[in-house]
Amino acid sequence: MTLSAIWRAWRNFWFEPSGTSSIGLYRILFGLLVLQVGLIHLSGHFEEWYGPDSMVTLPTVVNHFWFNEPRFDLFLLFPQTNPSFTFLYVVFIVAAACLCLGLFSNYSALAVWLILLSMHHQNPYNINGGDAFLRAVAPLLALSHCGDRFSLDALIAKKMGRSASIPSQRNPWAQRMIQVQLALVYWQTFCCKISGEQWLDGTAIYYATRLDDMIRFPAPFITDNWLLLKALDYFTLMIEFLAWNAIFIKECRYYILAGLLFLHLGIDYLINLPVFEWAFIFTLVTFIEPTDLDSLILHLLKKVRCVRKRYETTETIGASADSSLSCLE
Amino acid sequence: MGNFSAWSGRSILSGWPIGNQGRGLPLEAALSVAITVYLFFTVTWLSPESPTRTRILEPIKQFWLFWGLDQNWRLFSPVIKDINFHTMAVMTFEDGYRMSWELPRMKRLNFVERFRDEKYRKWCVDSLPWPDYKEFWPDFARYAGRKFYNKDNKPVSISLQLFWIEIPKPDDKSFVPVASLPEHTKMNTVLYYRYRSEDLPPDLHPDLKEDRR
Repeated sequence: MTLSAIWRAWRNFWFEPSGTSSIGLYRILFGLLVLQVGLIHLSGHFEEWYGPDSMVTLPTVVNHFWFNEPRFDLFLLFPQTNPSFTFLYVVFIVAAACLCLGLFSNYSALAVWLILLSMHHQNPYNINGGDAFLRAVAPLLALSHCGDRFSLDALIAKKMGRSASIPSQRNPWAQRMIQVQLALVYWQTFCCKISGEQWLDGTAIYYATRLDDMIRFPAPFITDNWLLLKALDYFTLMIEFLAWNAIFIKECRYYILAGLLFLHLGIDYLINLPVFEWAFIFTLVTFIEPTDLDSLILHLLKKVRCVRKRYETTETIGASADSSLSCLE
Repeated sequence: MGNFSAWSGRSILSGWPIGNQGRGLPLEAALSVAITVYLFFTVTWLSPESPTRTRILEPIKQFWLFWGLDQNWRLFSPVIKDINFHTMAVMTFEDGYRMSWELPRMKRLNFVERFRDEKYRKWCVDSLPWPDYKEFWPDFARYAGRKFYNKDNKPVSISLQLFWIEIPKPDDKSFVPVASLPEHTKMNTVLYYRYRSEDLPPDLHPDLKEDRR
């Protein structure tokens, strides 16, 4: 191996132009999750969590969490009144909606990040790992070419006759950073899991499925089957191990993605942790090769067209039958 | 500009002029340095505690924390809780009336409420009753005092109680089915707070009333 070979491999990974459909789709899914946080979990309670009369007051947070050191908090730039926080909430929702629609995509991602960061610094005690992951990924999304596909930005560019200036392939370094960020999550959680006893002796899933305040749907066929609980424990360790190394090998990638999808859907079914599982499931999309995603979308569009054609034909036949009937009458 | 790349032909945030196609060597070199530095410190941040780790992170710690770049993904690890618990606040009023307020207890909520109110569980049940968060107990007491304030029968004190029970240990021969988990029968009072006049809502504060007169 030579230095130039290492540099070539590095450049290929980070800078070799690639399609933008995966990151475009991820932008939509990411925006939907942020909207879920805003509209379902914070709607009507934003001031209660972050406002001046919050149950967690800022001076205590500054002492307990900031250690009396500076932190980025956009909310401090506004008067500490409930209307200011209502305004910030509206900005948050609008930014998330714009991100979903792909309008001012990069700026929307930036705004979403800054508000998520401010929320985290204003009150860090009501979030789970999913919220933290959104906050970690948002700046990377803002730096990516997330608005090139499936976006109003692209549509406007087309209307303005500038679509030809958008290359079909782009430098993917920011998308790669998102992939690496996800791999780092699995790396740390795997290392922590194998340093504890419960995961190694196979009782971890037993305990996780018996946290009674977190049970989502009862599933005794899983939770009361000792062998299955053990098998799921070791499956989790195995798939989380592969998720930070073998996932970057093209030949294994889709198998590992399927395994991770199974893992996260399973947790989501059993344990009530909104945002958490879907933040990770959606990020798996960034690992799909853009060419594969394009083929899949094309295939789905063809199917839809086929169904529509069939429907139109049936309708025409129906209409002609109707008109024949009315003629007869 | 919006998605700058799409509208204006130039990506500002993504830092890449269109048509360059990722082949600008100086920019690639600069980005490579930035990526390497970021990943080096992030991996160090995620590594187990050690004196070397502390020494490496010391110079960038302030910057990292300011921009919220700190991370921790110890998801369900290294140890999963082996107890079940819930919290309840008991508020006493001037006339001796005692009101108990069960903080969102997921087990008793329906699917939609559980999904919507998860943030309350995270704060009021998962964090608040534990000693690491005792600095927030007076804040919580004042919040509850304002929430249930009645000017004709003012709250006098509040206590926060933690009800809990161990999850029975399993072995290869026997384990407890989810439907037969034991009730939370053990209890600790983690907070007792006696209200002072300044804890009352400002517009109803007796001193302020005096001022207004």
